[in-house]
Amino acid sequence: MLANGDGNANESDRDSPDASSNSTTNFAELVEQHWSAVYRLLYNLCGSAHDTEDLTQETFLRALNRLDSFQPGTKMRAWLLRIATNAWFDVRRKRQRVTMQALDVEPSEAEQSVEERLATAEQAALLRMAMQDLPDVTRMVFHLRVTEELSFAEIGEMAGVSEEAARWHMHQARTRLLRRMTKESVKRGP
Amino acid sequence: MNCTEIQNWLLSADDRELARADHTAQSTVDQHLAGCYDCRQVADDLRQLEAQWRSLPLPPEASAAKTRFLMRLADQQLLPIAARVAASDVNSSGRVRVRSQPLAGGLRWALAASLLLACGGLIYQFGPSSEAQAAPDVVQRMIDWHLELSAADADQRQEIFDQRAIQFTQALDEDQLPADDAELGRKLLDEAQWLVKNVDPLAEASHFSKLADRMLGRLSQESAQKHAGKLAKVAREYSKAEDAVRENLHKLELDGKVVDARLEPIHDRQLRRKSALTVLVDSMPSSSQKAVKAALDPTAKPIHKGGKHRNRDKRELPI
Repeated sequence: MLANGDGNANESDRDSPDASSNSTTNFAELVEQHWSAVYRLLYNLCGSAHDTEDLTQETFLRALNRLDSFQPGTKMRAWLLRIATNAWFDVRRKRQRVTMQALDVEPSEAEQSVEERLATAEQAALLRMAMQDLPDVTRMVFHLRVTEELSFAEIGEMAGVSEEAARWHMHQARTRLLRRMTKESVKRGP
Repeated sequence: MNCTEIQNWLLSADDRELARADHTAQSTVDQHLAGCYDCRQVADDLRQLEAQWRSLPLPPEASAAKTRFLMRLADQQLLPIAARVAASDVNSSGRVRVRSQPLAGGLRWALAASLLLACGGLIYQFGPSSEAQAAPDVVQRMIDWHLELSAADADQRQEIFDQRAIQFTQALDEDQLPADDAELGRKLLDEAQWLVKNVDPLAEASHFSKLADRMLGRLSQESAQKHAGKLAKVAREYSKAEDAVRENLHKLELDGKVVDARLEPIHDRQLRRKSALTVLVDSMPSSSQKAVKAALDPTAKPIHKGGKHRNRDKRELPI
């Protein structure tokens, strides 16, 4: 499992004593460790860097004010992601739908040739576009399952649906993404 | 199980659930995949799709957003209101004053580290080695020289430059300066020449902003040494550079040449330094804090007449 605070699943954060402390002593460390994961989730839900920044700040503010309610023995990352999804649902309720903006194509930082970088960036852009076409909850379920490796029960709780419904959303996401990416791949040729 | 059932199973499950599934089901799926190209292709495509999603880079804005949040946190604008009110007290004039709540040690240090990191590349790039911090006199005199040049009118700058340039060049060549100081000195010499030819408050504000970055980096490194005298000395240099930024921005306002887009990075740097400095000073021992605060206290500085810089030590530049 990854534990690099870079947005991928992190099982090692389970009830770290620092993070579960009632004080704000290590709050900055908590921000450092989990900012990327929270930002990544919200960016996938909002599609706009501006909205994502606001919501990520809101998430950590809520966490700061509710550190007392964090239950030892549970995962800090999952707790933060739950706060993040709640914050996002709150905004969505207010605005009906958070404005979706075109996502930027970001070059990969890995060392690649120009052609490879272009191909990777193009592929990434296609995937993001395909994701944006999924319904909100389906997108959320796919991201949480694939990136954070949460259980369907946890995901269902965050998304406000049953465990079975979360599985159905995952099935939908995979089917539609696979179909879309295969279609794009055929369109672009070898 | 036929192909439809297998592919449906693949779309509903994932590797972890495959592992947990009973051996019979797993074996059935494995056997089918071994002999069926189409289903194997679906399984491979799924794995690739998810691996690709996991590997997408974070948007570049994410890091800056975190820095902004930490800076706001450091300014304590984000601490719970109740905590800040609890920290309020009554000053001598009887007015209620909301005092900055002292940050707990761990948070303070973590923020200091984060913010200094956020203030970033420049501090790292120009931060001196501990050896370099021991003999900064030539550099300090050169900074005063820069202030004098920037404060002077265009037609006086060449003369001010000529008065000092040769002596500084010799000092840089002859003095046994640490490598970092020598490098910074040579850079300041080049930039002094640039100041003679370019009378541009915006560019000069940017120049002094970079200088303030360097001095803040030096201050953060000195803070580890806990030498109050040295800290105060560096803090004075830092303060001079900040003053020069402000004065050049003020000149721009007077000239009516405010260009918002170009001012933004300078204002941004000022804010970052301010937050970083607050956290840095708070993290110092009380004796160092006192010395640094005194060095930074604007009321302790000589008054500038007509917006011109004067030698703060009220003495000629000792060359």
